[in-house]
Amino acid sequence: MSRMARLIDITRCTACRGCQVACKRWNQLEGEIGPFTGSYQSHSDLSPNRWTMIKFYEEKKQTGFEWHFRKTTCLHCGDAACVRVCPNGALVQMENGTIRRIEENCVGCGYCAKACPFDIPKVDHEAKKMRKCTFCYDRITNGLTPSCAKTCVPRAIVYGSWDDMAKLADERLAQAKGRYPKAQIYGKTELGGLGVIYVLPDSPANYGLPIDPKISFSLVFWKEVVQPAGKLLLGASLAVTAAAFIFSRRNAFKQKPSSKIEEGGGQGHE
Amino acid sequence: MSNKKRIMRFSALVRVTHWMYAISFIVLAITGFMVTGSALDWLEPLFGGLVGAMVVHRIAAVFLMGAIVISLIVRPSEILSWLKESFTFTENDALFLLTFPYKFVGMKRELPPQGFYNGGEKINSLIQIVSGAVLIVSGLFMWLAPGITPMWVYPVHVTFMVIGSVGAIGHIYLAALNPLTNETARAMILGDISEEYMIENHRQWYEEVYLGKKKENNKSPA
Repeated sequence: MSRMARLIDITRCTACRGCQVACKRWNQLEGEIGPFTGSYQSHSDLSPNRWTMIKFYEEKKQTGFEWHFRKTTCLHCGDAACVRVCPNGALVQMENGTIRRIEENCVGCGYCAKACPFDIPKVDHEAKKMRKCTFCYDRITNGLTPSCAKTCVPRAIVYGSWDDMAKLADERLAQAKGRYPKAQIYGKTELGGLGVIYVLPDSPANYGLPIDPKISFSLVFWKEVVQPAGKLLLGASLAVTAAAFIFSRRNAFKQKPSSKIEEGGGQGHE
Repeated sequence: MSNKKRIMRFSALVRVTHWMYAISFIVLAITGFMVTGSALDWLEPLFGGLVGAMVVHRIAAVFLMGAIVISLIVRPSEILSWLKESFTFTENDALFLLTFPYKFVGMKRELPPQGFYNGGEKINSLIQIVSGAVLIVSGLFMWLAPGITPMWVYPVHVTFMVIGSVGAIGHIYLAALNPLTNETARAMILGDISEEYMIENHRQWYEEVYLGKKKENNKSPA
């Protein structure tokens, strides 16, 4: 299976939140009633039981009031920080681009939540498991469309191969340029190409997205330098002391008796 | 036969807190390695999986910090004099390090007179003091305030875990397995060493105790 992706066209989204409901229904996630957020936004953030939601971005421009709605979800990065940081191999990248969580390996340590540049993984501290969007792995590997894309009325969420979605993004961008001159594509080049390609009416910063998401230097240093070097050092120190132990036993009997050997170890030897 | 005179080296408090620290350290190193590496993953069932290992890691951390707190409360002067000694590095300590490779493989060499702690023991103390302090502070942040702990704290914790563990491996070998030095294992269990060992390995300390020589006198007697 080639790499798959979702196109999420913010210029078309109407904030009907059908995707939010469809995700809950397919994945059998219980509804959660949260406190009033101060806007039409349903909840303040994702949760272990809420893998996608529409975030509301209000903007006052010279042309008037603008209201944008961004579907937040796991972006299934090409180069995923969560996969790098996971200490127990609980996050893996599948051939179709899905960042998949292995239930039995996940211990809910929350390192992924810390490393994710998009703040997506949420830890269920009681179950000691992280939960996030699965890209409807069960559906897409059986020839179905992710439930959010299937339910989307204005075709703001489209599912297909990554290459097709990249092409479609260009078309949608051309269509949107008339109304949104600053419209741009997000996700084609970021972090090895994201599994979600956004068409945004304006700068990503206006929609809570980092402009140039990076895997932090600390994470790369930790995983690519500290851990391999540390394992090497620990192994080497065990090997050196083991060798020294054997030499020291042999040498001890050749020496003139020390206080220790005289007490018991050296009888029968010179 | 050797002189049977025994000299008290480590007080009961030092011995108890040393082993409290040592056992927690080993448990912490093993459970910590399960998270960062994979070579010890086969031990996970012993702790109730990785989830259980992380609980054990935190419990052991409390005991490790407890060892420090108890020793500081019960005998602050003893701990402070160890700290002071560890941070005082003399010429003889440096000369000791030149003979250390021979000692390490069990070849006996004449030692420059050493104080209560020899140059190697001081370096081991410094490794454990520094790595212990960094590990405790970074670990407390990771445990109690993961939300505000910056990412770089994690590689720092792992780095000093490696430094501390390499030091501990060397320390365990020298104290328990090396035939020239393993008498100190008895000192850390029962508290005493033979007078002969004291003269051979800690001549300056011996002279301070029995000949009333000043600590500042680093030159070996004729």
